[in-house]
Amino acid sequence: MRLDDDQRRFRQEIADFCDTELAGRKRSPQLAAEFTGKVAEKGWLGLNIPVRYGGLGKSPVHRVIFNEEMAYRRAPISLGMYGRSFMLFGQTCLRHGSEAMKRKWLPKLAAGEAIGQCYTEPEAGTDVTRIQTRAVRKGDHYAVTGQKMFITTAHVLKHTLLMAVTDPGAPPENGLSMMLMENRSPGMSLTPLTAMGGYRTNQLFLDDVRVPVENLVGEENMGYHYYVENKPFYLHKEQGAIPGEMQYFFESLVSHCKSTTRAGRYLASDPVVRQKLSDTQSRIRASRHLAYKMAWMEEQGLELERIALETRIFDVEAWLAFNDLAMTVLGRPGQLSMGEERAPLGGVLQWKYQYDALQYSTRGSPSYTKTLLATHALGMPEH
Amino acid sequence: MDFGLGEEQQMLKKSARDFLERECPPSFVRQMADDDKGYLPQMWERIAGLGWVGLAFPSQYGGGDGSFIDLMVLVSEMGRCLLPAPYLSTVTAGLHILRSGTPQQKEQLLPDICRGRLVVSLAIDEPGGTEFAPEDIRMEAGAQGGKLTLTGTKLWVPFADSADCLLIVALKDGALNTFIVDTGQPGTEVRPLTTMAADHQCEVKLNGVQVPPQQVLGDGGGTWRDLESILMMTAVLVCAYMLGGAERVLEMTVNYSRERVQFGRPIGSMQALQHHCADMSVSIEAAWALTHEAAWRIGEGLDFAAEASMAKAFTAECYTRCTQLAMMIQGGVAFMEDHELPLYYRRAKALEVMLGDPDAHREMLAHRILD
Amino acid sequence: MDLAFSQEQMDFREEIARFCNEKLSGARTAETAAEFRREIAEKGWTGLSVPVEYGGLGKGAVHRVIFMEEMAYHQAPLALYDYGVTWSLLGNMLVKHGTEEQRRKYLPMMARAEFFCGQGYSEPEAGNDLTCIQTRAVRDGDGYVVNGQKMWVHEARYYRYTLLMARTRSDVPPENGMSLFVLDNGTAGVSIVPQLAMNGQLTPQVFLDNVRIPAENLVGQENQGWRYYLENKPFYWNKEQGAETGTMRRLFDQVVRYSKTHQTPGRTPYPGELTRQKMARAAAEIRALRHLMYRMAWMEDVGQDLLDISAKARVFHVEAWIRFTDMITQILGRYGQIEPGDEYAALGGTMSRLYPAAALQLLQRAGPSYIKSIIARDVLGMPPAW
Repeated sequence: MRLDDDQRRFRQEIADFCDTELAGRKRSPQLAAEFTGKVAEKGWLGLNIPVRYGGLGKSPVHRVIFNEEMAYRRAPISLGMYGRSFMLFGQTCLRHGSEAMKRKWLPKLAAGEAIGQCYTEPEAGTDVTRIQTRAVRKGDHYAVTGQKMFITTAHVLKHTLLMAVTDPGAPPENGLSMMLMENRSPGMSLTPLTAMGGYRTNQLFLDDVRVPVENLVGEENMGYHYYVENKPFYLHKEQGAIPGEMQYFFESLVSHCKSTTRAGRYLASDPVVRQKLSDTQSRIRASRHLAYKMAWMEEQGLELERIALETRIFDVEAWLAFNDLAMTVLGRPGQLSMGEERAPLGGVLQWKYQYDALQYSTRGSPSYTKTLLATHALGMPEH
Repeated sequence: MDFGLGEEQQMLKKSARDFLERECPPSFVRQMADDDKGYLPQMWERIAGLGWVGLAFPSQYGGGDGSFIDLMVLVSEMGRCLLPAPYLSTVTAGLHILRSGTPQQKEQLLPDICRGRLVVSLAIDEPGGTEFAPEDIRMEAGAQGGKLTLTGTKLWVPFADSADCLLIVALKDGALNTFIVDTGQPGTEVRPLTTMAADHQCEVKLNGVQVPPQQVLGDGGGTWRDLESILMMTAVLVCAYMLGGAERVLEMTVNYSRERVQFGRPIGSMQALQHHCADMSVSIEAAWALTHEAAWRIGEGLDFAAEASMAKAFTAECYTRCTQLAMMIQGGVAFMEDHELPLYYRRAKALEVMLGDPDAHREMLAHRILD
Repeated sequence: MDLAFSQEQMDFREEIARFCNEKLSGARTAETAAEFRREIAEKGWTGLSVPVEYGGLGKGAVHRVIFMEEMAYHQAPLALYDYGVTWSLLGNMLVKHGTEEQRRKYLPMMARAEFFCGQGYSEPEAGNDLTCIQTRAVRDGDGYVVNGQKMWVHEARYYRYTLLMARTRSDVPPENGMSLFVLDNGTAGVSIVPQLAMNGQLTPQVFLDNVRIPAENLVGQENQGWRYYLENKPFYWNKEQGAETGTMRRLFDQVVRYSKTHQTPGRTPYPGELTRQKMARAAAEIRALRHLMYRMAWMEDVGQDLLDISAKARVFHVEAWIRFTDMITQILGRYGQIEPGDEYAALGGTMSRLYPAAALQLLQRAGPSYIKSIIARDVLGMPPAW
């Protein structure tokens, strides 16, 4: 698994960039905005967008390198938000969008404007066929009415990728469409929701919201098919970030264990702790390999469903297992919140134990993903 | 031989459940998490009035002459609702006084404890110290003009900011003793710590706090051995508390799985989820087995440290695992703060590392079996 | 709650221990084993659960579990599994549903351990789902003519009887058309073909070709077989109730002794901390399992419903046992895989046999997966999977 010269240079460039922009700087929303702007200026938010649409036209492996390095260095940029923007809307647009749509929107993505995701509803979580929001064609626009749930970027981004019913008479698989909707449109109202770890998301109420017809992505009533086809990318919107982030926190935990004693010896000398740490390192290494492998397979044009499912399951279980064991290793001090002077690692691991719990269910729980793996990839009979 | 609860115990369980379901809904638990005291004194009074605080204390001191099993039954119901109250902390402190105090100290303190008039907490561990590691306790009673003084910091003291008095564990003449200190005293500084589960653990700083000789618990020869035993008993009560919560979490998950329809059927009809719920159920059953073993032995005055470690290690991992599986099965809604699962999710992890984490207990048990 | 055994129960346990220590301290041969079995039968211990009026001791389930546990702990040369199968199947079935004649015929013999009875339920197309069985029993004069094929029939070559499940009606849903029969394995038309399994045991397939079964061998009522089977499940799932605990305790004690005497030079403390963690985990699981087994026995004695506890105890047992055998093989390392007889074999080579055999637990009697589905549906009330 060797990177070529260009890829190795790219990784070094990111590392140097992060050093320059972040060394000694205090984290703040201002820094995050500034940093993100500079990343956009470098064109790195359009890494995989073809050059003719304003992107850098780089390979999937570049994407993984970018996410991994940025995550490892805890760069103040929302890799998930930008990642999803490309992996959901960008990929679908490239495959199915009209030339006009590509020319209009892909350069925006490349310049750093992210597009959100607006699929989930109270009755439609993992099962998108239960979506009920209606988009009624009325001449030059659609009138959208319905309710969306857990729409995290509705209050931060300008546009979002909506999935709605355009043909109520057809089976759901043939009646859903994808279209770009402007947040803060007339008819749209938003209720903020707070989740564990201070995670902020929204409930959306749509009442005759106007969506121009040219905002339809691809063909009408093909939305579900695009969604299924896009699954491997959707599952890995921040491809490479998980092993990168884990490696960072793993190293922090190791440092802590090397400098903290319990019952008269360093935690790092406790065989039980050592086992947990070494198991974690193995899992991070496997996760990293899988991320690069999948990107390489994408480059080769190989079928991605199986590896995408396997990797997602593996990543989530490894990530959540790490958060769990880290809290046990830290013991009582690990319970201290951020801001408490004695909180180890600044109290960030107890925050992650809560915040990352989203991964139990987002994009499909591990149970559901395993069922897909068993039936779609391993050929076991469907229920 | 009888593996069941007695009739009175079943009545206690039912009345506790009814009371707590009414008085302690999740909204109340959330409210108390933001509250300065972390509990409602009026509710504490009512609980004391029901005889719950004094349940396991002798009637001689106004207690209910209840057994350890009675206490276990009650505490399990509290764990089911995550009752915000200085209950376990006060009862533990009271049991320590009962076991090690002089007759005068018992007369002076226990009746008020049983009546709910005195909130007491044990202050044992210091920054950097580990539970059940007496060698980590460095605080030493100094002498100043014939008086004993205490200086230093204690951590993880539950509800210290509401406690009327604290039982401070420190060295005196080379042995660990317990010092009864009124919290109002000059030189005491209490600060609640901000913790993940908002469980109101506090930092206590003592600066030359004076302790009259009659405030040294017992005969002054050292109380560690007995205290260790009391702490292990508390660990078993915590197991009952955890299992009350785990049962509620499983119940919540099963109910959700029956209602939530995706892919044309209730998600609870999917085998994978059925197996996860069955796993939780089996694990809870085995955890109760160990908790009952330990609790019964405590009630009979038998050696119970091995059983207590078995129960604490197993039950903590069971509870944590249940909250994680529940989070997975219940999905996005349960991740929201207005859902009750986050309360259990955080509390499970907090209790796992309290009173000895699973690895520590397994090592203690291994020591008993192998060395 | 009172987890103390009664004086009588404690005395019984002590008596078994004394007896085993006395009789099993010398060399173990086929003769000493036969002698042992004869003496046990004479004491009436093989008829512990058989009612007094049928020649047994009429003791409760707790006594039975004590017997199984102690015998297993002392590695008594007894086929505890066979006793367990026979009692949990035929014994139970006859006491609850048998005719007086059947009880008078079989129970005294069972008390004297004069036969074993196996289970003839599964077929090639009917494993966990017994509604698929195809073995037919057609009424013909004063008996039934049976045709079909059974799999996983307990040692039909050595057992005298098989409790056979067959369809007696095909015009109704399967659950309403099955019956149970006591089949004498020596009956004309019965042929037994052994299959070798991973635990080194031969497990037979039984072919039934126009086998005549007398009408008096029908257990209970015709077409009630499915109901009896369901009712009997808790007993059948845990047919070694007590023995599994005794075995685990014995192995654990042996491993503790082994770990203290087999020190790796330069390593202190031994066993290493990770091994200590595993052993502590195992000790807790064995204790939990033991509690569950005795609790279940007490519940049986006081007449409580056993579905919930038996399903959970069975799942816990199997999974704890797999983890336990896994742990021991890790502790014994390479020496654990050497077969009995070799000087290097650790623990007498036990694990070389037990580890592969442990896998059998995953699928016998409906594996844990199947029982978990039952827990989910029937105990927790989750919607049926189909």
